[in-house]
Amino acid sequence: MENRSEHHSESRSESQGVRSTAQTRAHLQKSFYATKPTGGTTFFRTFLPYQVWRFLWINLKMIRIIGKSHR
Amino acid sequence: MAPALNGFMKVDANYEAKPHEECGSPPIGQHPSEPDYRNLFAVGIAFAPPHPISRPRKAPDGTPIFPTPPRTGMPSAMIGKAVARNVVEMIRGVDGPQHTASMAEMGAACVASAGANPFTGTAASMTVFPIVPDFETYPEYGRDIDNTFGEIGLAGHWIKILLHHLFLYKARMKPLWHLIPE
Repeated sequence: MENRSEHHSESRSESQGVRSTAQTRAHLQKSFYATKPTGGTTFFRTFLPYQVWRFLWINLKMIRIIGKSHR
Repeated sequence: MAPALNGFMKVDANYEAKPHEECGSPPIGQHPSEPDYRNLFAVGIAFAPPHPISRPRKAPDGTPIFPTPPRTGMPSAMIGKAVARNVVEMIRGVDGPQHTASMAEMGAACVASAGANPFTGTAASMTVFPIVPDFETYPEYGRDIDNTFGEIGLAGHWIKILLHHLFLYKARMKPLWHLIPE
């Protein structure tokens, strides 16, 4: 029983430690994380008609950059 | 002239040590040749960038992070082209390099793809213009936002496949290879 209470107190202090570390270190906070794509975004990444359009558009964009870089 | 501390060759740029804020946007590799020896050239990762292209940072464990400009792929091909033109002209009697390849004036495109199948693979496509931020021309972000973007999707994977074949075609110097841009 004593062991269990010790274990509880240890895990509590560990979780508090993690929380306090997360509060002090910016990169551990949720606001620092990369945005998660929505269902729509992931769907369009493999949706063929949309990707054909993006293929043409990205190609044009890259050709424009190549043109600007070669001036 | 002594090489830079990292052993790379110094080119025609300002290597004076100063804080990042004071660096502004000086051209990196304006003439990709050694200032004192005009017949020596450094292309791609061979030349020493005079300063980081964005503010140096530290990782949470204290590891310093020095952002250096990307000098492989498209930028190195464009610098190589300028060097080749300079070499040809200097052999023909022109005094010193005339063609420039500043990374503050050129853009870069990059496609990182995964998978070999055209329909199950994916890729991240990105472009940046200019490579070295120029806060005088683009005061807000230092870059042209219309020409700086990133996107994940199948389209980038197709572009990578296309680039792969174009690159090999150019490397083999097949008919009209010179029309394929770097």
